Amino acid sequence: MNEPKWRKSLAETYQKHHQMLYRIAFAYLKNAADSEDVVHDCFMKLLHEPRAFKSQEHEKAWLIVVAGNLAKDKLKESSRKNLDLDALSNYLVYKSDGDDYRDFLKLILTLPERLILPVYLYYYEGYKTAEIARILRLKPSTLRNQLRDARQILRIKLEAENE
Amino acid sequence: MNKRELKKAWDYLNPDQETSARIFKKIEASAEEKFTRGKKEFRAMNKSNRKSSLALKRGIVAAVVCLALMLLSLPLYQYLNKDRSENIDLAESKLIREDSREVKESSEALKIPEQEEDSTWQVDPQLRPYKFNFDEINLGEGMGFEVLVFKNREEFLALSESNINPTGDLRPSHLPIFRNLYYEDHISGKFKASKKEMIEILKTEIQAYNDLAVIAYFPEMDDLGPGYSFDEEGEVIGLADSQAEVEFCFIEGEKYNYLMAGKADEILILFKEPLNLFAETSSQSEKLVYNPYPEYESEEELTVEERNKDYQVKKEQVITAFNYIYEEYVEIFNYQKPEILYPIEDYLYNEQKGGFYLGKIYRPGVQERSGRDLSEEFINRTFERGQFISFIPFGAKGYYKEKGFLTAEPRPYDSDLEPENTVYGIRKRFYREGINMEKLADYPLRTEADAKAALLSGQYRSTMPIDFDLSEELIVRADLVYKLGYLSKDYLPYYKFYIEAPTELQQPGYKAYGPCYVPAIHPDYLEPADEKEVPLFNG
Repeated sequence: MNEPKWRKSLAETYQKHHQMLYRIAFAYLKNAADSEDVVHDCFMKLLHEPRAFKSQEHEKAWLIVVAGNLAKDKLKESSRKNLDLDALSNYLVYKSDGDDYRDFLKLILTLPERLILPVYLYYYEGYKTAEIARILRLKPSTLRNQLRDARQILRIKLEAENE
Repeated sequence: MNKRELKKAWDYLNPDQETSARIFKKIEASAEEKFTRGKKEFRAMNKSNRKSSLALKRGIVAAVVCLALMLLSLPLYQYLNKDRSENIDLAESKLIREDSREVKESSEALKIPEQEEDSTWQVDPQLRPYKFNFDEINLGEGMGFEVLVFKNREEFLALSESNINPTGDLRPSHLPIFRNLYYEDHISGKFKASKKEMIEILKTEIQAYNDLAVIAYFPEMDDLGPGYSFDEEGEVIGLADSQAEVEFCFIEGEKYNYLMAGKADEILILFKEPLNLFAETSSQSEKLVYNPYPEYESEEELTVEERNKDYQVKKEQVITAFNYIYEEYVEIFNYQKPEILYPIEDYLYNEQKGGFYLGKIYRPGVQERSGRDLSEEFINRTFERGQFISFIPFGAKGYYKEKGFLTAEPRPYDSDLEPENTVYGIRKRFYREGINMEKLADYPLRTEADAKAALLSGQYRSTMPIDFDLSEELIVRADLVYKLGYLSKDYLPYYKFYIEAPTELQQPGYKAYGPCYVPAIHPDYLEPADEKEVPLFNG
């Protein structure tokens, strides 16, 4: 029997985006189980609400927004609002490819909720500020201020750690 | 702390292979359940429908009697109603008709050559078959599909040709296949015009408008004036294409400014003085009132009823607005035989408070309707089109929201948006032989009936993500279209059949239709190319 068409599309889309969605969800929720749920729910939303995407970028942007919103919703429901650094340390496995950035990641994850997605999209996904502003429906100036705030917070925390 | 370190840190959050596979399996199971349940619900619905069919049969007898009476009184009805437009759809058709009449008069003044008989065209005996692969049809990206949603099938059928397909019911005997010179092949990523090419394209275009350019440059941080400027990275704010990047050309003309970003199939013609269409007082309102962003009092999501009400109002507004500015800027279109259309270009199909919300986006535009034969007219109507653009300014900088076209587009309230409605210019699509596309050859077309037979025998591709059993009664309409976009290697004509979407893609209370594409080139002139393997996620 032939592979159903939806399964092929689903597999392709999943392969392309699931890691990104997981990272976004984890950045908000800081635990694996909830992040898995968010990735699952993102794809359910995609299947339940068929829509025409203009491009691959359009679909990606839509998924980013959905993942962010679902993660924030879950965060409201969840009692685990505070970051458990010890639990996180157990989760993060050292990658033997050079420098260890685990402590640095923990600092990023302590950023205020509103700054997480802008920082991720700018530094990891490589979006330009105007693009992020468009995706998150923010004024470009607001977005730039958020990135500046995030850099400042990280710098202060890094300096405090090094002292 | 630098960008590389920040990027590296995030990599720790990647799920391992086992987790990835586990999530995928869960999604797959949920999807399977959804699609199976959808079919069961559909069968249950059919069962309940059968119960009501007895009542229906009784009604049919009465309906036949009524129909006979109506047919007898039809001539009288037509006589009594010949000057009346009862609803917005009729009013819209009237606008188009009136416009066509004006065009006809001006065409006579221009002495546009008469169209030649399409049947005189002969196939070139040297014509070689085109190598065609179904998998190369540009079906867009990802899991989205081109859905059209209506309350029922009748609403779809009642739409005029121009609401759905700008090429209407034109059926030429032949059409060319074009090579897209800015095709993005995903490997080289090349699809942008170089700076030199952009200057040449713009200059050629501007000369066509009799507005000689005085400056051509590639600004980085300069302020271009009201409505469009640059962010701190030198990116143009106000361009609809997120992939435009920094590569663009700006030319200052006598009456208009011209802006073009890498894609080489569109230019922005920017008015020296942006046009404000908003007038609040009654004295000004005789000029125009067009408010694309209604001032909702609440930031809450709108109910289905609120949104639909809003859409009904704005459709009228956008038609009035478009007609008004078109008169002001008609010269820029430079078309021999312009036609104003109000096609539905997009559909919003989202779950909102109170159920599923359906919004149709009307995006008016002008197209060139001239042509020495049906084939040339078809090409002009497809490739030569213009639309007005209105950015939504944020504070001092002109940052556009979404596409920024002049549309009848319902939107949720957004506190960041000021209810502005300033139109900044015209986005004009154009295709020029040797510049952004290249004609390969003229090919004879198969008939619609032949294409329909091919469709029913499975020779098609659909953007719908679900497998479905196709039968003749599911087919609602057929359009002849070119499939465009930078992901199309070549521009081929297709018959685009709209069929009733599978149950899994339907939503309660609405009817969804999705497209199936069948190549329109005569099968004698298509030969199979090698199939491509598509990688699948296997966990």
